[in-house]
Amino acid sequence: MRILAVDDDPDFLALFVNALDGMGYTDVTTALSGQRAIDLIEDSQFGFECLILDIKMPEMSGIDLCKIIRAHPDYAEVPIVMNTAMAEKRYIDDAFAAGATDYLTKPIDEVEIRSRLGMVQLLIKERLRADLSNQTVGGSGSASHSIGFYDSIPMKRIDGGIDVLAMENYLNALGIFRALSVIAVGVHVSNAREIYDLEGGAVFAEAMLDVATCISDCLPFSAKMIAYKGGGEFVCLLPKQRERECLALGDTLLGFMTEFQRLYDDMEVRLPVVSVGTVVSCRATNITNPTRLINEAIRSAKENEVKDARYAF
Amino acid sequence: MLSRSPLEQSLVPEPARQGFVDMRRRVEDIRRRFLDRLPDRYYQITTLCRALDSGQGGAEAIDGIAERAHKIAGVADTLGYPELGARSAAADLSLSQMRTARDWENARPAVRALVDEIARTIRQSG
Repeated sequence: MRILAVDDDPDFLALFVNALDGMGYTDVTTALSGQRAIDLIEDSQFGFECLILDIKMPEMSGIDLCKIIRAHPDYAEVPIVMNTAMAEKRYIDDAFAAGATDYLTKPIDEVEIRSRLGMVQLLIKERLRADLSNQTVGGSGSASHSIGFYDSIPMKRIDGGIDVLAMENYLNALGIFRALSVIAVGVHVSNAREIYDLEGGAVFAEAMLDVATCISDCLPFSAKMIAYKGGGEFVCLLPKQRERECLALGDTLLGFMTEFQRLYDDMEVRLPVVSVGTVVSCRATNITNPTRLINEAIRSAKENEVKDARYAF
Repeated sequence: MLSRSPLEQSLVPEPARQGFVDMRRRVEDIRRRFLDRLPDRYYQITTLCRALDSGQGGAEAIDGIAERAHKIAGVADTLGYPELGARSAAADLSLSQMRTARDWENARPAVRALVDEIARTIRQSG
């Protein structure tokens, strides 16, 4: 795995490289500043497969660097892991909002690095396999033509959009007390399978992005995360104090989706029929397992499908 | 291709040397470098503390101490100085919770403890 590690402290960087080397990650490039990292990214012949950024750096913080890297077309999906000290936990929200995939804590914890980078490697392998399968099936290599029904769709262009894996990592990073301050709401597209079967992966992906855009527009505040889990299922993570907006999400979303009706009619494509679940909070049963919170939110949205039949057009 | 600076070159284990250089030896090199820098850091932190104590230092002085505490916190534990790691992390956290220079009184005990621990580490390393 080709790694770019960025930190302004040469001692930390040397120890980090040494630790990575001991774990078999030998293809590591280092940069002592954000600007240097950008230069290396621009200059890199094969690109980096994983970026590990320190949060606290002078001139350009790791969060600003993360935003810049994410804006680079070749790095929209590349895993970015933030290196955080205890004093920087308050920046974690900003880091994930900037596009971070995961985080590591300082000082160096080899067990943690092994586990986090193991996940990153799995993610890379999965994406590579999906790309290869797209090329085999689609021939042209265009990913959008062969997006599977359960595949993830990049949400980067959506305000608040985040990868579902990053959302899980974010929930893990919160710790018990801060996790109590977030709520999750699921959104389910009940005719997703129908749209996919009738229109194919590319149109389906665009329709799901329309739904994501509407969800984002319904939540007009910056502290929000919207992830697409595949299969027409979305989950939103919001601060608890936004619960009131969530209660109205179903109706507001209906209004926003209706605006697409004519456009979809013109294209002869079925408008996504959405149902919104009830607000799910962290409890003893899901606090240690963020995936459970996400699944509970989605399950609730599916259960509301019948109740929300009025949303069908 | 961008060329590596001498400092960057020193960070990456050279493939040709990898088989010969023991990892512990590399950590030992980093530890020596860290200890060499420690007296300077001690002097810089105490100077900034004095400025804050006399009401002359502002946000820059706080950031200056925080930056040094942060750097020590990132490596001290790994280099075999857990107490120094804990003290610097505590100072880093205290400083990060400061809103203005007027909160210095709240952060000062943690920074004082860090300064004492740096002095002890320097003494013990001979």
